[in-house]
Amino acid sequence: MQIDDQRDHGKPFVIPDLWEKSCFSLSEQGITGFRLEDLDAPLEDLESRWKRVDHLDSPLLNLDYGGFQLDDIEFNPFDSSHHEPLPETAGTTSSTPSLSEVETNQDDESGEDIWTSPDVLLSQKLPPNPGTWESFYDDKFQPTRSYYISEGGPGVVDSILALHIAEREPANPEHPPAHISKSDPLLTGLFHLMIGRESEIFGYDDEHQTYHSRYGNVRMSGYCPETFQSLTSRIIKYANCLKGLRDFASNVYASRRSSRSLIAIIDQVSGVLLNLEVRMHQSFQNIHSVLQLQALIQKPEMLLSFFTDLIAQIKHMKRDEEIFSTIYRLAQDSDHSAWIRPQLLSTLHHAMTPWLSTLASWLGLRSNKEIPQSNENPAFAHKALLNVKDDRGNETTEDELEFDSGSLPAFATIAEGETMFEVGQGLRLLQAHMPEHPCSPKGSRVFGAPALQMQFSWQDIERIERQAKTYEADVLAAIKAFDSGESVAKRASEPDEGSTVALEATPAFGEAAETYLTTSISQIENALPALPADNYDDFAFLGSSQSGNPSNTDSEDAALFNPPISLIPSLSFNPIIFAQARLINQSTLRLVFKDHSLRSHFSLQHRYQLLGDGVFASRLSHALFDADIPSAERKKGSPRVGISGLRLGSRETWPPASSELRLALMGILSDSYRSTNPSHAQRQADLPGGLSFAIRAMSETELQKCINPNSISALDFLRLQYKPPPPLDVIISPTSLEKYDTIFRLLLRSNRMLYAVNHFSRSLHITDLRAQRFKIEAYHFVFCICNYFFEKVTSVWNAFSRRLDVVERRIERYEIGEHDRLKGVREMHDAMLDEMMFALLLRKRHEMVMGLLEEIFGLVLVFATRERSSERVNISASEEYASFRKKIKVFVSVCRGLSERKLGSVGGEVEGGGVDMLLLRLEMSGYYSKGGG
Amino acid sequence: MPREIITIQAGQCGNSIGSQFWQQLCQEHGINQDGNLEDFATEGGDRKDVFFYQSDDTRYIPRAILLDLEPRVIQGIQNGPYKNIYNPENFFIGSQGSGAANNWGFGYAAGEKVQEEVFDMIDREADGSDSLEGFMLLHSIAGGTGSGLGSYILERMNDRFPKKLIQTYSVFPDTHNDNVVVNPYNSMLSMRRLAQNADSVVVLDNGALSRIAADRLHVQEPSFQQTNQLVSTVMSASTTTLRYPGYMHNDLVGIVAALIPTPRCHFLMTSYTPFTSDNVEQAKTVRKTTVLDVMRRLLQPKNRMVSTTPSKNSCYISILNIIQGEADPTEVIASSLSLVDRKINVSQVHKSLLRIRERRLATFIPWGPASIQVALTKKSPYLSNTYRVSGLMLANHTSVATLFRRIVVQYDKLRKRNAFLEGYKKEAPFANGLQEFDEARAVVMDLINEYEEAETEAYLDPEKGKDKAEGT
Repeated sequence: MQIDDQRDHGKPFVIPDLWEKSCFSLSEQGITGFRLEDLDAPLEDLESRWKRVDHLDSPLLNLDYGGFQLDDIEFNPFDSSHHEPLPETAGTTSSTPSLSEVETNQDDESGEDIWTSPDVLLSQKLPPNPGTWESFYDDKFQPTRSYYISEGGPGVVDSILALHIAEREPANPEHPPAHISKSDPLLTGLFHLMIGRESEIFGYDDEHQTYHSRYGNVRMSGYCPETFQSLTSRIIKYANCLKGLRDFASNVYASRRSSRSLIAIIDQVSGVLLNLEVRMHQSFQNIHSVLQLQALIQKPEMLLSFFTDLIAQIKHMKRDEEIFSTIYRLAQDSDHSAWIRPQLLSTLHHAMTPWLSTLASWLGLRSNKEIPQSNENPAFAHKALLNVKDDRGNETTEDELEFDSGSLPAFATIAEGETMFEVGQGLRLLQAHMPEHPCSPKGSRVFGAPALQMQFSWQDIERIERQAKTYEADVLAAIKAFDSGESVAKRASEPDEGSTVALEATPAFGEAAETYLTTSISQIENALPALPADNYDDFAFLGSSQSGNPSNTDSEDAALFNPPISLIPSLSFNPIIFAQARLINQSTLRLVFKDHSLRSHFSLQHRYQLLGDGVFASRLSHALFDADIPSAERKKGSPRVGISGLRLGSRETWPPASSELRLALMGILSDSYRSTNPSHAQRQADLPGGLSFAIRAMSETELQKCINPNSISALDFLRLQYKPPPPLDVIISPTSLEKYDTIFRLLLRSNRMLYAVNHFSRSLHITDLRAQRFKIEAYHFVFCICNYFFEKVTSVWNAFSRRLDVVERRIERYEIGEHDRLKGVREMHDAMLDEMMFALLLRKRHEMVMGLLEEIFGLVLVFATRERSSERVNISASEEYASFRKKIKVFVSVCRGLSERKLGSVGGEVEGGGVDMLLLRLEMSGYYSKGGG
Repeated sequence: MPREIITIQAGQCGNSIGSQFWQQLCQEHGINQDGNLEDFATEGGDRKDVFFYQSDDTRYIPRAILLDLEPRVIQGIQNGPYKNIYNPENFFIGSQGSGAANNWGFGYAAGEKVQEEVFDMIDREADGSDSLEGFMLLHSIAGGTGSGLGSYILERMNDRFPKKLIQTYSVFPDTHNDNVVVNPYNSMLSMRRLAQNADSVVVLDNGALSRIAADRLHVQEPSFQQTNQLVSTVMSASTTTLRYPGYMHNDLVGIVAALIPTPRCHFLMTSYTPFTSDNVEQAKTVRKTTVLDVMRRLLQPKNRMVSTTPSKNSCYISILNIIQGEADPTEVIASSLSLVDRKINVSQVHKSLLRIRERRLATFIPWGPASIQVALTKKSPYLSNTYRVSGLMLANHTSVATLFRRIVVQYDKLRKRNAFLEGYKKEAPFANGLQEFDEARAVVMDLINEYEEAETEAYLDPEKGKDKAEGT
């Protein structure tokens, strides 16, 4: 339908051969039924126009104007008040003005039939037409008229089309010829369709869930059916989309299960849709043709399809994190057009807002008076039921917050997630144990924490960093004041309301960015007149294609200088999160180290569980093994007085009764504890953590083993019971206590072995040389093993204490190191225990070695028992000695293997080199490698 | 249930080293001259009750019995700065007050007479302890009281306390330069009891002590006072593991078992390093003390407190090094957790042991496993030392037999001529003749043979060495 009025360019004075007859000329074509008066439809009034259309052999489209009244007032493009020429537009709309011009020109020549004949027209008297120089000079001048159909107006086209269709597909009942409608009602109808309203022409078909034309195939006069059909279906598709979105929105609002992010997105989408509608209304005033309509729909269409795609992706997602993570990933794709990216970012911003506010509560960045309920926690901190075994072996379930890395948003690394999780946990710890602390939600908290929000420009990110620093310094000052006992409320700086509020209100605008924006708008924006700024600035791109939006990234240049989207979340949140993490970690560490004296509890473990207290260890081994101490066993007629012991190794009955056990071990712990803690001496209170001896819960097979007093497992039932008082249980976990217990068991066995070999008979009269050699080698072996074990325990423990010293020194100075957090300390503690267990051959991979060791120990114990019971009897130990020797040699070679393997591995051991240390002791004189005498 | 140890100091020498020892212990545990704890002594972690008991007024009283047949040294103690710490009932001075006149027989015979009184004291102390582990006898073997009375007590103790350990700190006379002619007799007679009735004997050779004192302290003629101070240092160091218990060697039996694999070879040599002004005045040496340095120096013969003439085959039966390190705060390299550790630690010990093995600085017995046992103990927090690490070596070395052999040689010289036997013949043990001398010599010779055997591979071999082992 375009008129090629460009072809004369460059040759303005060449007059084309306009007088040549058009190929459509009636006389030549001989087409009947085509009347010239049909062609001058625009010249006549509306009423007669409809009648004329009626003359064509097509069904009449009988439209009632009443249905359009409202719109007519505003939108009738042919209203006389709108007769100014349409602005020139480039590209697709370029042809429209010329068409309109033709029409309006024709209007001016009221009643004239331009198509009659040029000759007739020439002879008519006409008022001077000042439109051309020719008519100015010569009032009889008749401008030449075009014979091109393209300039003939819609009527001509319609007629020809009708003719053409009739000829090609005569009366096909399946394809009835399209209804022809005049342009403005149809345009209005289409417009209504575009904003999702039903109209006289278009209705919604619930059955097929689509909009449809009530009149079947409709076309606008002047357009061929296919062309118009494609436009109509495009608009219908658009309208369907729109309706789909609206329906979905209302569903989301209605549903209780909708996730908050989805609601936020729907909020935003609804806003966009509303805004679109308003925009369209405004734009429609200037729309006179289908082409303009088509241009108008272009961007909304893309926007809508974008939203539809987006929602299709996220609508089945239940969790906020999934939803905005998806959007976040989408936003990183670079194939979006520049104008849709801001939309995307804005959506992302909206989708994240609920999560961010949850996060802010979790992190304690908001001044709630209470810690939020656990169901308001971010999903990465999910509640887990932990099975906790109490001392009697009963299992209870406890609620524990657990870190779930799977529920992290896509932009957060696991380390960041853990940091966030720990901050929240620390906060709860502070809340529980130090409610007055400035960081605790209940503490008087008056610090303006920067809001967690996406920041889209470098300036904003820098500002956030500054704010985070100020915040950190403020809170730290308050913490110091709190620690020194000053009132927090008075000292703390007044809340910086202004900045906080401002910050929350405007997502991300620097002034510079705005200036830049304005200039870029004026440079690029041309096509449509700028719309007045209103509250829907976010969507101004509809009119102007350049306008405000959180990111200001409409032009690619701007986007180039802004931080990449993939970095935005970390850049905008991390300064705040890490500042808060430092504060909370600092405070929680102080809480456990200073207020709950973690070190003393650690040293308790070392002294008792690891037998690090020599006084305790030797008292314990005497109470358990010393044969010189009166037995704690109940004997008829002999009252028990004074100290008593279990005399393991020199008795036949085993295991001891619990009363016996209690009697023998009575006071060992508390005496030892009080001797070093004079302040504790007076109080008869329990030891910290309820430290006491207890009976280990054992399986049937284990029980069987410890029934034999001469087996190495005879003492396995004995354990130390300790329950870390909160909040120290955060660091001394049940697993670590289990490890302590395993180590305790081994050390107790070692002590027993040591006692046995130390107390071999010292008779000056050696009666059995083999037995003597057995004793010597057994002593050497047991000694070296125990020495190695104890040295390892000591050295690993000392290294751990030194690390704690460093941490403690930093806490003292209010500094914070990279790993200074509760989890760091816990991990350090666990790693220490693991290292210790590794060195003590307690790991799974050392099971075989440990088994061998137990066998050797067993042999030694058997020997010791035999020697004691039959002191005067000759012990023929030749067989025993041979198998003992063999086992020791195997053990030495296994150790050699282990130490060689260790040399090969990366890093090796921390101190001295583990097993080779043991090997060196065992083989200082090279006795076994020489073949051993 | 401390593992209490009762100290019996007999004779001049025993009492003077004893008084030095108690003074040292008091200082280390923060006990003042009245037996009360100093105000600063609050650290805990030590076990004072091994050597002290607390009186009703909570004063710390040494579990010490001071015996002498002449009053001079004991009166000196009773008038000395630490006079108040002792239990006055535990002083025993022979009624005649004349001393034993360097005669073992006199001392031994006196024992017979005073045993009731002496064992009353010992029993009282033993009953006063919860879990008596054993006795420490401090004496010299050359004089009269320490050797004679000491021998008598050793014999009786075996009957009275058969299960208790007896360790002696025995000062041996300077075999090269001795002014008491009958020393070889006294020594030989005491040696028999040490061989038969003690579980462990720490041999302190006056000759070596004088040499060390002269060398290290830069004095020509060291006084007994000075050599005694060496002895008390050795004693306090060798008991640190008992007083500041760790995982191992925290009772006497642990130490004895560690050092004495074959019960007959229970004569121990000691080395100590470094002797500085903290221990003995006049000695101002500037030296580097790392664990390796200390352990290497301990193995040097010149630091041994026994003068021996080791042969090619001489070897260590066992070694226990007691290393005391300083509890110095660690230096921190700020950037990381890596520490420059000034405390002695296990890895330093490990490296030292490796080096000692590489360099073959110590030869061990060929007939059984052996190694250098190392006990790391803390130092008393109340004494300031200029050196970082100090070490005591308790070693069971076969060359100790050469000392015994020297005594035998000297004894034989005297005995051949029947010199100076009159004094002995007057005393009760020799009333029926001098077999006692011959028996003692036989025991000592057996001991020497035992040590020499122990240098060979065939020692304790069930096949080869059967006859010899059973010959005892």
